[in-house]
Amino acid sequence: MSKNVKIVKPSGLLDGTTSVNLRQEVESLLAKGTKDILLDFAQVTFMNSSGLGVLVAILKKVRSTGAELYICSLNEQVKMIFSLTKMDSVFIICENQADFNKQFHG
Amino acid sequence: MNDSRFSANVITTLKPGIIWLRYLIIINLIVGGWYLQWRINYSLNWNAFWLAIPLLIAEIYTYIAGIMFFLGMWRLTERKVKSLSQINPPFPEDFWPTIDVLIDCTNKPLELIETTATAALKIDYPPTKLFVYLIGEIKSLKIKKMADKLGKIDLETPGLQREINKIKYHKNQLEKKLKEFEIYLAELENNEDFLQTLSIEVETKPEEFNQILTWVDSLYKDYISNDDWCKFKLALGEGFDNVIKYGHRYLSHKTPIKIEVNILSDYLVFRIWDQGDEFDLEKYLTQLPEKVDDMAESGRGFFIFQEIADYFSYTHYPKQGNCLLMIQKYTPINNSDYVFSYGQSLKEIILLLNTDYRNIYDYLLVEKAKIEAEISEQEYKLSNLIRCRYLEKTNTLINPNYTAANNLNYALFSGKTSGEFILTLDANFVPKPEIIQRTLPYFYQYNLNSCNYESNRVAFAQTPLIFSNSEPNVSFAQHNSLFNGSIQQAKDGMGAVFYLGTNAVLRKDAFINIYSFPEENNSKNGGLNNFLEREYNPITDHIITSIRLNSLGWKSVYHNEQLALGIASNNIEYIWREKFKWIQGFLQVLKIENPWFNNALNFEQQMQYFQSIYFYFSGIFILIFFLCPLIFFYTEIIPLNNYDRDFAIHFIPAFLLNNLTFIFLNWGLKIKSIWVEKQYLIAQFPLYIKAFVSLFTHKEMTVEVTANQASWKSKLSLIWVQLSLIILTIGGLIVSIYRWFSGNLIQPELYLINLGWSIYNISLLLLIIKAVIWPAKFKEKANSTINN
Repeated sequence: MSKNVKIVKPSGLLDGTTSVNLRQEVESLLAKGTKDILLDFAQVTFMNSSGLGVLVAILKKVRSTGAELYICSLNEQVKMIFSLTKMDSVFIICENQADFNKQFHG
Repeated sequence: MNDSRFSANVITTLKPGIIWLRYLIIINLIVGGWYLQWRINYSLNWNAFWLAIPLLIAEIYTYIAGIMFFLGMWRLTERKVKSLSQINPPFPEDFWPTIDVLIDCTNKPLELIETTATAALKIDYPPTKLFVYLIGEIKSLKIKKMADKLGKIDLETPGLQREINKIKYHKNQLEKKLKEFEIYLAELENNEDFLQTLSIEVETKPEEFNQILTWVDSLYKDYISNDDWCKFKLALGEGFDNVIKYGHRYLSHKTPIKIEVNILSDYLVFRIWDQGDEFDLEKYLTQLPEKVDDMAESGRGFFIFQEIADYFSYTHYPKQGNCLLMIQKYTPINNSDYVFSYGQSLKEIILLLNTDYRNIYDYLLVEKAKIEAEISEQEYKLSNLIRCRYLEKTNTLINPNYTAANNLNYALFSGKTSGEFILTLDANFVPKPEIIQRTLPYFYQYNLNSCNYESNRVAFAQTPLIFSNSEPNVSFAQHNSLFNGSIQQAKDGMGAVFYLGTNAVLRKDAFINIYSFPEENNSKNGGLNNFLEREYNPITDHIITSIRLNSLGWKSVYHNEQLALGIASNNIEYIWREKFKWIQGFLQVLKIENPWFNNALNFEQQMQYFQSIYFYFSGIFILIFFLCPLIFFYTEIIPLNNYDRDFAIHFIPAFLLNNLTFIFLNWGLKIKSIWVEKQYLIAQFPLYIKAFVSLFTHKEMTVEVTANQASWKSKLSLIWVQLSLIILTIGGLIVSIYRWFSGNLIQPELYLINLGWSIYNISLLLLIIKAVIWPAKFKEKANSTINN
């Protein structure tokens, strides 16, 4: 299964504009039949509610194709928005890639 | 007079029964005129025209005086007033004006000055608003010493002690406040960076937020927890995103967005300034659903914002644009070495004022300076509580033109006094405590629009000059209850009260007004400069002051209540000199400021001023009345054809009516005291003649004052005219008796009439002679009356 996991590494600011690119990237992966997509947020410095909105759209898209979306390596700043909006219970969030591998592909 | 039953603060009415008085006056004048026409047409003895004509002139003069005097009484006015502290609506004490009491100490015994000054310090008025000035001629160390002594005693009185404590307490409070401000300032200085508003300006591009993040992170303080810091940035991100998405949606990318951040000891604050349209955030928030669906793709921004912010607002400022303010409370991390103690409220001020640190700092500096100024003002007040001061009357006044020998001028122009009102007192008038309370209400009127008491146009309130340590018939002519009663009340009715230099409260503004008279008036009538350059006697000064005030539309008030107790002098020569000054003063007015030439006065005022002056022309005419019977005794010549039935029919009604009107006019006074005053008024006639002559000869005429008790010689010099008239009358009687015995007395009825006339004359003269030769002893002080 591990070869079916695709890792996407967005970076910098994740707002309404930049997250559109992320969405396109994910959609192209889905088109190729990818079942598990891991978003590695290690390079993401900040995400606002618009970015989060796009992320929800991505999640819905992913799940509609029967695939799953994972997120890992959130910095504290990004963790804050997930917890404030209680979206941390909607998304599957891992501490980092290693944690992801252990939990889902170990 | 202090009658609480009436509702208005000041009530001015015509004297009750004035209508009857008016009838009487008219009848009196008609009967008098009828007598006079009879005298002119039917009675003149042309064989003795040298006597007949002068007597007729004297009678015409008297009749004219009567017309002016009685018609002047037409509007005899009485005033009632409520005391200042009782007026309604109440006049708050804080707004009461300041008062300077000026006591003229010239030629007055020290004990008297002390009595008066002590009484002045006891005047019922807030002690910080009343000062007593003893005005002395040249260097008078004794008076100065006394002023110092009285000032110190005054400080010990309960009222002043209370005032001292009040000021000290107030000062104390201020000092505490000052300390607090000093702490604020120190804190501000210590935490300059902490209180500073930091700001950054970016363009309307989403990626600019990276720059903002870098900048905000550079402001991070280690006493802020990570959580709080993340929340703060998150809120900031939402605010910024909002501007990008909505506020500046249709605006150019170049449109600036300004972000300001304050990091306070327990608050994090930011403001985001945008240039978008106005937007009602409050209304928008009420329309939001209560919960965002988990799978919603938008709408979380404000929920995040509300979650984080303890307070936020979105306000439109016309010039700066819209401001999104967010305040986030946080708890500093304990291990921080920063101690937050003072200034909690200060920080709140900073937050709410939307101002920067510099402004706060400057504001505090200004406030501190204000407090310091207030403290020094309190210190000044403390030092200013010494309320009894000595003012030396020097000749080097600020303006060399103002040399009039007048305390008022001195007080006005020396720059050493500062009260808004002045109470002028001669040292021999001991003020009652209520003197200010009873007179000040005249100077104010209540404005219904502003709900305040405002100054009106009253320039002064004169009260009567009454002596309380002597009976009128023992102290020579110091009493003048006709003048200090009906005459002043009549003048009040005509708007021409005489200011008498003492027992009066004056509005300082009004007096400055007349002494800054415009130039053109100086050229008129010889002018002000002429007047001020010469040393006229104070009475002249006072009456001219009244005239000038009236000319400029200022009003005057006569308040007929004894508010200062006069202490009569025992020194007959002194009294005589004062009397002479008084008369001279009146006559000089005619020369300096003839009321008939003053167009600014109305006719009634002109008549009032002139009438009082005109009275003092009477000296020579009184002499004629005295001489007529004497001439008869020695020559058997009479100025009339005959003293027959015809004479009696015309004369007796006129004479009786005249006296009746006079009595009626002074209703309330004892007939005896009216008679006494009439005696003095007539018997002083040599003084009138002397003053009249001095007016035209420009010769300085004074009455010399010797030691305390006048010698026989000097006493005789005062009354030689009156004495001569009596001796001549007695001589005439002896001659007549001789004629009678020798059978040469042809017309006994003529002798009887002239006998009656001379007895009347002598009775007019006796009192003054008695007063000079056997002056009554009376108390030097009016203690018994003052203490009551």
